[in-house]
Amino acid sequence: MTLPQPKEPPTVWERLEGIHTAKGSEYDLLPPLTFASNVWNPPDSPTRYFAWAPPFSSPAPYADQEKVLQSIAASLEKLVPRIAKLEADVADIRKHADVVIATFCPEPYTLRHSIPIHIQPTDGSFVATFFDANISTSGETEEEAFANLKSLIAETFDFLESVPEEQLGPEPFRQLAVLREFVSSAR
Amino acid sequence: MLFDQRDAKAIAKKLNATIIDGKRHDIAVINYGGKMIGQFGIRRGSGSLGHDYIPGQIHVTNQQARLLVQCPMSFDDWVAVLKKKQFITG
Repeated sequence: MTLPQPKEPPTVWERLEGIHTAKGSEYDLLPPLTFASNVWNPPDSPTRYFAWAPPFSSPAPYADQEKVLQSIAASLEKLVPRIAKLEADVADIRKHADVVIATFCPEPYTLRHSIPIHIQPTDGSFVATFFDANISTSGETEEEAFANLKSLIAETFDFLESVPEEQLGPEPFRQLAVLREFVSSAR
Repeated sequence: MLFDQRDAKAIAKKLNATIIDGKRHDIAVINYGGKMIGQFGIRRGSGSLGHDYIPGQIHVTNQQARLLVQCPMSFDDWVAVLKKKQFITG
């Protein structure tokens, strides 16, 4: 003779669909879950099996369900523009590129540190900027903008190096100081 | 595109810039009171090339740069802006 095995409690879905009542167990006594009781008493809630929804015959649960659904619908409506904005922001961020100049080869310059470059699209072209030194230029493609900036950094460095320091105003003086932090001439 | 190569050259002319030849760019060098106070690169090539980065290089807004191109803003007005922002001392 085999002893009857204790049955597993019905799952949330079984209770929602009323399936467990056909299994014939002590759990048959549990009333079926309503949407409202499931929302307010999630499975990990300590009050999960104590906060039963009223019987279906009562009109109250339907009123509750409608309120909950309206509240969820209102929340979703608020989320739609926020998601659209986030998607636009992500698309915008993906357009930007942060890269570095790692070498000036075959030009005769030695890099002390890699130079951080920010490339961003403008109307039909790209602007590449070395923010620390406030040097920018553009190109029809990202690669062209990058190559142009590399060239301009080298040209600006050579030019500023050729000017006596006492003739440099505050901004060119600062630019040269920044460039010297990153580049030295290998000539 | 806000500023093309022609605008860049107009700004350089307005600011009495000296043009230094580079490989891919001409460098417009601006002097004031015997000192170099600014510079920006002008890309070589066709006149339709974008130069929207120039306002940032000369520390003015897009609108002020447009005024430089169109004439209402003079070199002295620009110097006043730079003095206010302390890019020119004295």
